[in-house]
Amino acid sequence: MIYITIIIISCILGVILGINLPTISYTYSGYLAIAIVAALDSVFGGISSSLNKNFDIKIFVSGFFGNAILAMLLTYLGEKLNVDIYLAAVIVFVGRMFNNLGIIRRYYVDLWSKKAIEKNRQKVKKQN
Amino acid sequence: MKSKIVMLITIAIICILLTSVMFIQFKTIRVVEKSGLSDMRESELRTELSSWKSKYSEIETTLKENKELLEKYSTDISDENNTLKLLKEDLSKLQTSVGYTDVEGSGIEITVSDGEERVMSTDLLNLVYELKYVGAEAISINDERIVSTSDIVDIQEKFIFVNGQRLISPYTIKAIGDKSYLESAINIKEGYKDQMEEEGKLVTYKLQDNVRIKKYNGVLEINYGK
Repeated sequence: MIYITIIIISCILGVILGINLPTISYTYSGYLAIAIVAALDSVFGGISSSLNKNFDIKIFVSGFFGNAILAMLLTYLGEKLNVDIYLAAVIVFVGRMFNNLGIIRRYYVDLWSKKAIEKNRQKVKKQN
Repeated sequence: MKSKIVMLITIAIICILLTSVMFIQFKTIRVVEKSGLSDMRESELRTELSSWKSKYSEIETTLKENKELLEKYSTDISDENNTLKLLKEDLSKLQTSVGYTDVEGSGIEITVSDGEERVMSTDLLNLVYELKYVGAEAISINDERIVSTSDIVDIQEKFIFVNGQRLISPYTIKAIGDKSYLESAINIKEGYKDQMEEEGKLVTYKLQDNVRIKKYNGVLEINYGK
């Protein structure tokens, strides 16, 4: 519960901060966009791993920053090579994001259906 | 416990970082949609450039068409050029009559000089008026063109001022016009020459086919007339 409140509060703080900070040049906004996608991928990966009880803060933080920086570097390289490498990064990260979302969804659906089955059993017990 | 706090702080920092960066990005994109060229990416610039190039070539073709039209019009206008020519002729005529150009033509060259008596400005004035009366088109005294503003006055009974220039005897008056009329103005009985010689001043004249009268060197200014 404390995790959720912390996350909500810090997200609100981030929104306020982001609105009040100056904008960046459009030339670099492409890099920032790919970094955001990579970071979101890490966040969803972290959520799914925490649901599977194998969440590690070191892996999460290193993935968060490492993926973002790597994605930006790849985008830069692609610009130099005149190849849209950032497309590959977007595909990989978004694909993984869907993967992780699937895991999260399955976890909660399983939880919900387990509870339903439990209720049914109790009902059956009471009837008996 | 300690590791839990560290984890909380880390998660909070990451959340703040992610959301703030996301909102910066949103804001950037929103601003850029309103602004122009300098923030565009290379590919966008390329498409923009190619569209401008095609527009340019289009405009070039229309320019060519318009130029052809213009040429056509200018040939049509050549009729009006004739009126321009007439205007120019008028202008040159007026300049000649005002005294802004050198004139050449048949005329007379009169020399008036001191004899027993000094030549006065009135003598020259009379001569000028006589010549004008018989239709002289251009008159000069010692190469000073007589124009509408020319002054002919005595200065200290030594010089005669014409157009602000000191002149002394002998005075050479040139006039362009009908030779016989000009001669009669001088030579008529009891006329200018006779009168002058009675007063003891010398007058000689010479008819010429090619009298050259220089242009007026001053500037005709209009300061008070409206």
